[in-house]
Amino acid sequence: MSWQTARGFCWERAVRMLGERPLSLIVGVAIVSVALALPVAGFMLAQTAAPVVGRLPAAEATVYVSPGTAPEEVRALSARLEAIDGVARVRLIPRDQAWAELQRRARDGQPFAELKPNPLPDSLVVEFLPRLRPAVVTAAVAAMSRLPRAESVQGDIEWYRRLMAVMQGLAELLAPVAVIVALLVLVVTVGLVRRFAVIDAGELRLLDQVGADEDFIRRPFVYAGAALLGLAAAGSLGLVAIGRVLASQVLADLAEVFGVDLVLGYPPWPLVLVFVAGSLLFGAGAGYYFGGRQVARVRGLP
Amino acid sequence: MAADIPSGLTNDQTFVQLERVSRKYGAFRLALSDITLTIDRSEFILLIGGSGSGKSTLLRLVGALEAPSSGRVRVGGEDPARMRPNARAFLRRSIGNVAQEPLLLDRRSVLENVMLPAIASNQTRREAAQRARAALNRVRFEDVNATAGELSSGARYRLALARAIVNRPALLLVDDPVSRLDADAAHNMLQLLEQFAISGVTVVLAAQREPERMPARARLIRIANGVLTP
Repeated sequence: MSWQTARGFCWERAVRMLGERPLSLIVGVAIVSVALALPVAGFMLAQTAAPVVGRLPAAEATVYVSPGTAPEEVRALSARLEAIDGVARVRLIPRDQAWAELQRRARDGQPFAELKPNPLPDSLVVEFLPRLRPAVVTAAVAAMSRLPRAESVQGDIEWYRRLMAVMQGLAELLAPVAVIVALLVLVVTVGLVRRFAVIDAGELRLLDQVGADEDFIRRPFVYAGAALLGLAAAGSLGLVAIGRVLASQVLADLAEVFGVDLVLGYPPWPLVLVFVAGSLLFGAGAGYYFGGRQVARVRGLP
Repeated sequence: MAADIPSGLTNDQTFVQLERVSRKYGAFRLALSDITLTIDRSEFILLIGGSGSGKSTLLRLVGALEAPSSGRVRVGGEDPARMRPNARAFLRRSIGNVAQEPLLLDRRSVLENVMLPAIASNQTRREAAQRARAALNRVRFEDVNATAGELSSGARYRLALARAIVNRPALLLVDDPVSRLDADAAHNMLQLLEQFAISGVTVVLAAQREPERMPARARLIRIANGVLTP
């Protein structure tokens, strides 16, 4: 079949193009492998960290009910608290239960022996939605303190504000890091394909002269680009696998310290397929582009 | 050798037409000036001119490898400068081009070099090899497995000629082969090219001086300083 012959010839040219500089090939593929491994590793880390981040404690506030408030008024206050923006749920701790708990915690009961009757008020513990903005929590606490029958509100949210600031800082850092990594991957891969696309101009001129069409001339560049990025994608997956083995002990130690599950899992296989196919397509596209530029350079006619 | 005339090219008797063609390189170097020339199908043209007279430029324009700065070139009724790249590539398959310094794939064998245009024209490997062997046989080239880079100047030229005829072109453009061949070899080359013309191929041969034994069929055209002279 003639198309097989033409493609065979183009593959042969592509392999020759890559094989002419073996050292450049190895070094280039290694660098692109590292570059491609970065987003894969980032994805795996994000995948591992996601459940841990999801389990971060939410902010809480305690509303102390005015003394002498009837149970139905406490229920009404609880309902009003639940209606406030950002509140996940409200839990009632009756004054008797709080008193009993307080006495249980003080082992000998001495500090409270003379306090009679029970001086504690009913309290409503308000749990906020997870990862709520600190400003929303502060506004909610202020709104709670204005409600009738709310004697006082204790909203210890300073720790929460700090935690959210750290999380936000990480998230803000993540975006530029991701952009830098993406640019790095782009520059390195394009640079590698471009380096191999610069082949003997005489050969291109000859192909143009003997009537080879555009596709025939460009095809070896497309194949070479796809082969380069395919090799690099495979290399990056290999690097990630090695990194996973090396990181497993460190993660196990961290998991033990924090009491959470930390297992670095591979991305799901459809995503791996998309990654490999995307790399091949990107390499092919870069090869097509740089091949076209090379051809245009040697052509006498537009 | 029967010439394959690609579809799209006209079957008119006039095959190549240059109308007031000029070619300028840069701002000042005028390689061709106001050339008007008609070449009929299966004609054998001997284009004679000294070094720098504009012969090679004229062959490159007719071979659809360059566009004129002004005027119009038509090959088989088509203007290569106005064709789309793939249509022009298709036209070039019907033109055999042998440059003064032939471009070869030096690290490949003679056979592979000659097969190249056939493969680029979508022939199967077997067909390409058959055609290449026939073309090499036609120019009396025997060592088909030799590496092109190791060939002598004359052998390189014959190899380029074999490559030019492998696609059975309708037009054969040969740039100055005679100056690098001895008298007998030059005569054999002229005879061979005349045979191509007899078999229907339009041949344009550029040379620095008139051959000692002028082929009977040849029409002589002289060129000097980019202008055709009587």
